[in-house]
Amino acid sequence: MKSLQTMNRIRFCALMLATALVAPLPAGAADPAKITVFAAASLREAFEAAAPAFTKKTGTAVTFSFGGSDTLAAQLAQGAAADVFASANEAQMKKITDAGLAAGQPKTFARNRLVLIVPKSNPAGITNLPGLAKPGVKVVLAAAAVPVGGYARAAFKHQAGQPGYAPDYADAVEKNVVSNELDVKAVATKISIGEGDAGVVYSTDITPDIASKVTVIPFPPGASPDAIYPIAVLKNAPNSRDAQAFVGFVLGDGQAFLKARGFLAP
Amino acid sequence: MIRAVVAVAAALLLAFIIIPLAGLVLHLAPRDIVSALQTPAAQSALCLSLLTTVIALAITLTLGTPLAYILARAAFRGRSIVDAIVDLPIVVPPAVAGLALLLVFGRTGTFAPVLARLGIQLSFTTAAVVMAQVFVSSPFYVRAARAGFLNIDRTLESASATLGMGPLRTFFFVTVPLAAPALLGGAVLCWARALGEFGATIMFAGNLLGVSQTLPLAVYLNLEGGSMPVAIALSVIMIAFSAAVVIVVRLFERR
Amino acid sequence: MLHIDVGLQMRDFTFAASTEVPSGVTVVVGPSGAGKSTLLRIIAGLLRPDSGSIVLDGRVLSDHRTFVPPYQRDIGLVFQEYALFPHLSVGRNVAYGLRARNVPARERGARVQAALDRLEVGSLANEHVGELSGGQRQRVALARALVIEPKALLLDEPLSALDPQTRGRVRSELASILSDIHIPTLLVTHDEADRAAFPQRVLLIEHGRLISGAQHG
Repeated sequence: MKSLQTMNRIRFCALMLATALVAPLPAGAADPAKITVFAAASLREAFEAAAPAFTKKTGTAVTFSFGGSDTLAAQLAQGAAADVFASANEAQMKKITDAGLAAGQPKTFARNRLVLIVPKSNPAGITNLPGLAKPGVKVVLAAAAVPVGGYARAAFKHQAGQPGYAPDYADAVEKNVVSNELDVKAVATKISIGEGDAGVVYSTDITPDIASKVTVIPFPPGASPDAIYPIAVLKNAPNSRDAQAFVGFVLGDGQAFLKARGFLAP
Repeated sequence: MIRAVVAVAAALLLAFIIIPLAGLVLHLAPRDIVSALQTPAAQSALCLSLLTTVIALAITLTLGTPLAYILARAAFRGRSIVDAIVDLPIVVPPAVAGLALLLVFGRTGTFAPVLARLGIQLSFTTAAVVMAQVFVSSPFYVRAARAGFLNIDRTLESASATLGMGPLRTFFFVTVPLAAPALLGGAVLCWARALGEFGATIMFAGNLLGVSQTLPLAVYLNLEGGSMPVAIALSVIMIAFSAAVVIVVRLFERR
Repeated sequence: MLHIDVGLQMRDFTFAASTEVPSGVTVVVGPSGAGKSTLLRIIAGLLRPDSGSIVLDGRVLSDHRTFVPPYQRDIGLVFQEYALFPHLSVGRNVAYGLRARNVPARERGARVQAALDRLEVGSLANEHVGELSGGQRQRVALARALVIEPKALLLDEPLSALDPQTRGRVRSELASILSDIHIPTLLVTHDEADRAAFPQRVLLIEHGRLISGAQHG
């Protein structure tokens, strides 16, 4: 009775020991390949839809870190480990290339357009861009360093003095800003739950969920140049071979996913 | 042998706390810190943080002291539930707290009709900053105050009563002075938590210079806006504040 | 004169006390847990009885209609462990009851010094409570209770916190101090030796019931 128990115990221990010894042996051979991609928040839906296709094609798993491009650039500058950086504007990518963190030249892989969104209830009665300068309107933008925040403010400056816009239009709108959010998704969310009277986001941020809660007002033609999205492999990429493959995918098969989400061709 | 192990373990943790803080403080020359602090953005964040945290602390002391007293003295059914509720904001992630505040006190929140009728707008205001701070920091005070009140010898309060002091005067002349170290320690923790509050603030109050951009938000935004010197300078200020308060309180306690 | 006729249902027994306490010292003797402290707490107003009344010098302190809170009863209570306020000096401790009665500062100072002097601890006014010996503490507690000129005085085991050597000496000193005051004074104790020192009037208390004991002279 006791000896049977003891025998089983010994067998169990031997099995564990054997597994522990054998397990680490196939070093590297069966390790799944993976890459880390830092990408602008506006790319979330498109990239998350595209990732399974990439993994299926190459066998490499993708981990994303989405956020304001400025936040991501700052993290990379401080030494965060990533394989690929996809930014929503050239200014943040320039920070990376200037710091010598990019391997080779960045490539533009998509363009995006700005839109104005207001809650479905439209509390401030905004129907067009000039309406943002009306006194008392609560405007929600991304912080100036966040690409979409920069693009928006550049557009307002561009419109100031044009027919239909006062010369101090840009300043008037800036006075109406009640919050500088950390990324474009926060802007979209706040407007969709009725906080704020109007916000500026990308046309690609109008997901079905957001669309049901807001009214979209396109920017007048010429008000804002398209947003340029560059992508680059990082110099200190832990897995640069698969990183290159991802960039190639984004510029190739991946374009369909971007287009499906409303991005414009590069 | 054991003593050596204990000493090493203690030293490790202490070093882990000191080294990053020292690294930050020593990163910039004092001259650069001073000039970074003279920017309007830095001064605005400084003033706003001081103003809001002091108001938040005042609110917490006023409402939290009675609550702590009741929790320490009154025996009622469901007291342990109330105890648990008071502890919740400590465990709940700040962003969640901010979202909760937004969904209830926001423009389309639960209380929106009432607030609208009163002409009050809460989200995107400095009041919202204070609300977020009170929400996340008050439990620290209430817990400490409650423990302080529990530790008081009730006989002393009885003695005060027999000598002719009514309940309110007994509270101020006996209870509070005896609980003072605990109350003070709790107030310091509470203030420190309020000063560092980020997630709930940005969610509920937003981020606007002079209105809601407190020190932590300013540090974060300057970090990626590319103004590292300002971010570091503001961080050094926060460390200096905290250190000063902690030292003052410890000195007080010793007395 | 202090009239007591009260009942209180407690966890272990039913407390019942009915007696009249005239001016002078009445000793209440009983074993531990008999309800001695309960008696004092009820008289002081720290416990509310279920039934009955307490009348002091013609003023109703407690009956089925009224309950005067402890801070309005004008009764001095010396606690078993003295309950001196640790955060106040000796002088401030003794002045506490006078502050409660809004006695102005100068008069307060004079009365406090007089009370301390009377108990021969006049030099301790600025001392820290923590630095005092057991006997000194007892006197300060007594001074604190007496300086307010209470209408009645209650002492809860005043000697039990003292070490046996000091006890004898303090007992006779206490007897001489208390012989000087002419208000109903209840001294509660489990020590039979105290009975002999205060022979005037003795009551027994057992299982929560107050029984009139032998009356002497």
